[in-house]
Formats: sequence, C-alpha cells, structure tokens
Amino acid sequence: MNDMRMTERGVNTKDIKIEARKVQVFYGANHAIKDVDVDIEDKTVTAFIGPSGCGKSTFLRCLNRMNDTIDICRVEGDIILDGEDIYDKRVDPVQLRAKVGMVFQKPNPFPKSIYDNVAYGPKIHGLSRNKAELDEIVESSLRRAALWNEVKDRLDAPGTGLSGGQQQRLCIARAVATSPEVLLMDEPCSALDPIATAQVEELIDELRQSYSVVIVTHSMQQAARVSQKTAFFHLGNLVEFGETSKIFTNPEDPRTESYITGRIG
Amino acid sequence: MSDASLSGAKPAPKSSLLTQSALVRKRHRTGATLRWLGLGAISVVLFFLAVLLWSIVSRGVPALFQYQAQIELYYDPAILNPDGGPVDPEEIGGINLRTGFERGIFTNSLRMTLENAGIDIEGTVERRWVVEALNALDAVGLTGGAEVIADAGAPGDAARVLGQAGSALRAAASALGGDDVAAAEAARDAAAEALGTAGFAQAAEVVAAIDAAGGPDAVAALNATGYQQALLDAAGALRQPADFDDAALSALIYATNRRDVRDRLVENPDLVGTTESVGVPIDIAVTRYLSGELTGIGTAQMPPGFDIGQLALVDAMEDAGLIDNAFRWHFFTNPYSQSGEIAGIGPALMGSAYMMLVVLVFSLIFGVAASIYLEEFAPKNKFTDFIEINIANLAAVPSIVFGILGAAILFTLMDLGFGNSIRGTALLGGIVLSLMTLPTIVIATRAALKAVPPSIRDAALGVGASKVQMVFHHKLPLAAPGILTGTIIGIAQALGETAPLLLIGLSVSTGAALLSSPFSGGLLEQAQSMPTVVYLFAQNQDAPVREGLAQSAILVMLLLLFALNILAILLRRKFERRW
Ligand SMILES: Nc1ncnc2c1ncn2[C@@H]1O[C@H](COP(=O)(O)OP(=O)(O)OP(=O)(O)O)[C@@H](O)[C@H]1O
Ligand SMILES: [Mg+2]
Repeated sequence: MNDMRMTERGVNTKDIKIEARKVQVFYGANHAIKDVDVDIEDKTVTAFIGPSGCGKSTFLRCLNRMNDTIDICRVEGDIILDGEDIYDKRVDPVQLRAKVGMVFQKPNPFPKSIYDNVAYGPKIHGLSRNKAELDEIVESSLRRAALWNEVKDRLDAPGTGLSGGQQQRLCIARAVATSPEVLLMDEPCSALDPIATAQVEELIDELRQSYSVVIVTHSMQQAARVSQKTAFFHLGNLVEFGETSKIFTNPEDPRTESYITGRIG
Repeated sequence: MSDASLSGAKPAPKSSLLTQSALVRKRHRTGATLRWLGLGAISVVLFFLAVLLWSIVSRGVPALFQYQAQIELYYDPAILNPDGGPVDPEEIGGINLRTGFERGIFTNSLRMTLENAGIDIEGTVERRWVVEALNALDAVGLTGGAEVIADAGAPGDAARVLGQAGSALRAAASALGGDDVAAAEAARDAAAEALGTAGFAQAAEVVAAIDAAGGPDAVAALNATGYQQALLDAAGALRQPADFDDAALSALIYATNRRDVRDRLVENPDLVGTTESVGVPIDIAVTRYLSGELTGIGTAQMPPGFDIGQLALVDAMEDAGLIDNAFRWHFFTNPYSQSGEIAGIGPALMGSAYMMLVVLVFSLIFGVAASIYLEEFAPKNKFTDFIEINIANLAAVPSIVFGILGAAILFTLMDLGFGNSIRGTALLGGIVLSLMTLPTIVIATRAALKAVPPSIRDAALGVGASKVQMVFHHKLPLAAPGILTGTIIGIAQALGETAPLLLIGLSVSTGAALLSSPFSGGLLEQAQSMPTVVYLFAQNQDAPVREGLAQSAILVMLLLLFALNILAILLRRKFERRW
C-alpha cells in the first residue's frame, strides 16, 4: 500500500505505521494541538521535541487513546494505525493499547511485586499458556529493560520499593512485556542516571528492530542519538518534521533552530 | 546608606536580632493564645471523657459480679409429688412454681443448708431483735432490760410485759395532762408500778417522783424520760421474731418464678431425689446491703422489703462462708428479665451481631457497588450530580427518620400478611440500619477510590487493561483499607443506634430468647439489640439494675465498639500499601 509513497519520497524505505492527519486536541476551550500531520514509520525511532507545555505528551497520548480517560479532552482529525482509524467507533481502546504500549513521564509501577508488575499485561492479554511461559516473558522483558540483573533475586519485592530509575525501567519492562507494535515513551530517561540512560537508549535501539518507537525527550543529544526521525512541536503546532540528522544540522524553520541552539524553550 | 551617613544625616535605625520587634511579639502572643486555647479545649474534652468512663466503669464493673448463696438444692420427691409415690416426669412441668419450688424446694434447701452450716435460723433472727429492743431501752436509761427479757421467757412474752408498761406510761401521760389530780396520781403510780413489776426499779422511782399536780410540766417531765416510746419500740421489736416465716427466709435468695429449675427437672427427671450444690443469686435488694451501699441501720438504709432480722441471717450466712461474689457469667447468655438477679444481654448480643452481619452484607455490597459505579462508570451529568448530592444528604438524616421508614416498611409487610412475626426481627433491624450506614460507606469508599493516585489508573489502562480490570485489579485493592475503615466505622455507628430500632419493635420483645443460627432462620426470630436492652435496663424498677447492670451493658457495648475500632486500625495497618 505504501509502494507509491515510497517511490514518491525516495528517501523513505519503510512502511508507515501510524498516520496522523489534521489532528486537533482541545482541553475544554484550550486548543492544545493544532492541525498536526505526522507519519510514524515502522521499525523507526521518532523523537518528539519542543518546549515544555507545547503538547508533546498530549499528542503522544492521542496515539493510544489515553486521552479518552480525560473528560474534558476532545480529539479531532484522523489517526490511522495500519490503515485503520483508531478513533473509529468500533475500535476498542483496550485492544488498541495492547498494540500501542506506553511508558509514562513519571514512573508509575503498580504497588505489587516486581514480577506481578511485568506479568500483569501478558496475563490479561492471555499471552502465556502456563507459568513457565510467563516466567520466560517476565525474564526477557526485564532483561530488555536492563533491570534483570538488579532484581532477579527479589522478584517478589514490591515494585514501588525500587529507586526512581529502576522503577522507570520496570515500567519499560512492563510495556515491553505485552509485545506492542508501537511503543510510546514519554521522557523515559528524565529520572535516570547516565548509565541507566545509556542502557535505555540501547534498549530503544534494540526495540527498533521489531517495533516502532516514539520517544518524547527534552535532551537534544538523546534525540540525536537514538532517533531517526524528529518532530519539533511549538505551542501546539508541529513546526518541523523530518530526518533527525537534517533537523539537527540544517533546520528549515527559524523556531527549530533557535530551540535546538537553546534560545527558546 | 553609607551615602546617608556620609552626608551627616541620622543613620537609619538598625534592628537587633536580640530584641523582638513589636510585630514579632504580637505574632508570638497570638500563637501562644491559640496554643493555650487548644490545650484548654482538649483538657475539657478529656475531663468529660474521663468522668463518663469513670461513672460507667465504677458502676458497671462491680455489677458484673453477683452475690450468690451456695445452696445444697435437694429435689425432694415428697414436694414434687405430694401424693407420695414415684414422680412422673410429665407431672413435673405442672408443679406450681410458688408452692412447689419457691416455698418448697428452695426454702427447704436453704433452711437445710443454713442448719448444716451451724446457723440457728430462728435464734439468729430472735437475737438480733432482742439486741434491737435492748438498744432502744438502753438509749433512754432503762437499764436491766436484758434480765427483764430473759425473765419473761419467749420474746413474745417480753413484748407483752414491756408493752403493758408502755401503755401504763401512756395512760399516765394523758392523765397528767388532765384536770383530775387524783386520777393523775393514780395513773402515775400505776405506771411506776408497771415499770417496777417489769423490773425497771430505777425508772419506776423516776416516774413516781413526778409531781402529779404538775399539769403540763409533769407531762413534759414524763415525756422527757422517753420511757414510753422506748418501751413500745422494744415491744415492737420483740414481737418481730414471731413473724419470721418461710417467706421471709426465701425472700433472701432469688427463688421466685424459677421456671428454669423446673424446666431443668423436666428435662432431667433423674435429678429428682438428688442434691446439687447450686449458687443461687441473693435477692437484688439485699446485694445493696452486702456491697455496703446500704448500712442496714435505720429505715432509710434498709433494703426495701427487708428487716434487720433477715439482715442478721445474711450476716450469719456470710460469716459461715455461704455467700460469695462470683462473676455474672450468665449476664452474657441470659435474656433480659425484670429480675436483676438473672437479667442478661445474651439475645441482645446475638441480635446485635446478627444485625451487624446484615448491615455488613447489605451496605457493603450495595455501598461499594454504588460507589464504584458513581466514581468510575457513571457519566457526569445533572442526574448523577443529583444522586451524589442526595447520598451526601442521606448521611445527615437523623436516625429516627430511618426508624420511621423502617416502621412504614414493617406495617406494609404486616398488612401484606406477614403478620406480627416480622416485627422486631434482626433482619428488619439490619435492613433499617443498612439504609443508615449506606451513605457512610458510599462516602468512605468514594473517598478511598479518589485517593488512589491517577498514575495507577494510567498505568493499568496503558498496558491495555479494561476499565473493569483497572478498577478491580488495581483501584479496589488499593482503596480496600479505606473502604474497610469506613465500613467498620459505619457498622460501629449502627451498633450504637437506638432510635430506629425502638420504632420497629426491637425493644418490646423482652421475652426474646437466644437466637438460632442465622442460616436456620435466626434472622427471622424476635431479637433484641444492645442499645435497646440498655434502654430496658435503664427503665428497670430496681435501682441496682438501673444503676449497675445498665452500666455493665453499656460497658460491653463500648468494649465492642473499641474492639471494632481497633480492628479497623489493625486492618488498615495491615493492608495499607504505599505507592
Ligand atoms: N489533563 C489536562 N487537562 C487540561 N489541560 C491539559 C491537560 N494536560 C495537558 N494540558 C494542557 O495542554 C498543553 C500541553 O500539555 P502537554 O502535557 O502535552 O505538554 P508537554 O509538551 O508534554 O510538556 P512537558 O514537556 O512539560 O511534559 C498545556 O498547555 C497543558 O496545560
Ligand atoms: Mg509531557
């Protein structure tokens, strides 16, 4: 289906996973996202950057309909996942969120054991047939989140008893455990030290092999390091979207340039 | 500033840290005032709490102990079957409680027990009255009374002798007050002679010395001796032992209406002819003497309906070790009764427990379900707002209104043909109390659900949990301690509620017995409840019940409430999780 577009664009060799068209988000009267068009490619890391309050989290939350849980929030426009409109009436957000996983800005493990935190998603989605399989999923998820070595001896300890950075990696493991097709990460490294950050970035790079990853970050270096595509938001508008290398070396819009050079933000 | 000093102007005043500025002083004063006010308020509250607890404990705890006489109860076949021959078990049930048990078995057994303990019943009573008579005589200087009484033989005879002397004195007093000096003199001499023959020589001289022509002065002189009153009092006291009978003896113990003993015999006919050592409660009025509340001296200090002769017997029984002060275990199993000796709170405890059970089931299920719906699933519109406001209002509705509602339901059910049997049942009481508790639980549950951080909700929805899964897997377990606390507080509140229960007939069922298991219809039997039984105790005719057992029942209720609250705290501690 994307053959045409691929040849048209030339540079693009990958499928479009999520296609957003004319997306508008309102919090009551507050127009938080204005007319955003974005294509999220499969097996690619897309970074959202922009000053605080510009709507990065809001847009990210549109992609798995987490905004549904906010009463005053209203979304307009089309968001197409694999050719299907996710805001279609027939779409069950529960099914959507199994496909589009999310890691939140603040670490929010369940007040349960480390094991149960990771096993919860696979359990409710029926991804394992027995305990051994579930153990297997838990271990591989924790390994991928670079947490296994630290917690393998205390899987029964409460997840909330971990350090902030460990909690964030636990949340990543929890999101990974349901094998989503798209992983949305809202500032996953804001609570992490450089070593853990490097581990998470490694994980993101690895996830790119099989998933599409969208990451919100305030660190220009991180965006430059991990992403292939970058979207710059400003005051609810998508100002510029394109190859990361291009955005960081040769931005088209003056606002993008002043942001990445640290003059606005 | 340096410029200013250079230019020679006065330097701006610098404030020192060592002296407080006026503003700071004022702030400190306000703070101190508030602190003292707070302390004062707390002390006042603590003081009243202490007074309340003290008044309950100081009266309720002693009332939990009961004086009882250890009696060798002999189930005499001769009494159980006056016609002789073997006792037919079927007939035992028909034996008169008063003649057969109170006057028969109990009186005889008590008499036997006292005699075996070496107590001379009639002698004890008689000696006590003689002492009383002697005291009356001694008080006015009529010495030698002991010999007079001893010489007369039986106390009854002595009473006659003293009575005659007293009458002669009375006649003398009235004659002395008259105009006829001769008659007065004769009456005076007759009185002196009567005193002399009775054996009070000294007093006879005193009377003989009164001037017969003295008129009012003579009357006053005669009255001043006090002989007449003392003699009549002593005669009255000496007449008492003859009045002592079985009724006076059995009145000391709780022997009236002992249906329980008869029932026991009907069930175990083998007991007939045997002897059992039984602790029989002392009459509740007498216990006030035993506990020292009444001294037994003077009419005001006498247990109502008793006299010093009976108290002398009580003293003798106590000296012989027949009376002990045992814990009133049956208080917790017996039903309420007008007789304080056997009154208890058994059915009330059970009734209250059953009602708590009903409240727990109804209000927890409906309350939690309603809160979850309102908090998580209900659309936010005018209608749900309306429901919400009304639930909050419901919490403030006075409990008696719920009682009226319950009564309305009751009468409707009765009209529908359920008859009187539904009246005063634990089920009905429980439902009414559930209605009352519901708002408390709804409010607590909603608050607990609200207190769960929204990040947990996001986390659950984020991994693809449905709304129901999110609520039941994550929010509810986290809200459980709060829900539990709210529930227990609501139930504790319901436990103490009287007004609605009075209206639906839980107080009138004084005949309530222990209930059967809730699974075999116990919920549909006539029940009592703790608060209504406290009300009954507080209305009792006997002061020891009103002032003692009522407090004991309150104490039990308070202990239950404390236990419930401690349970709430413990459960909270155990299940509370931090995030
Ligand atoms: N739940 C909400 N209710 C109302 N307004 C909201 C809500 N969440 C976000 N907003 C508003 O939407 C706008 C965008 O917020 P958003 O959280 O998307 O910013 P952001 O780019 O993620 O910022 P940051 O980098 O600080 O996380 C802001 O003006 C914010 O006030
Ligand atoms: Mg954000």
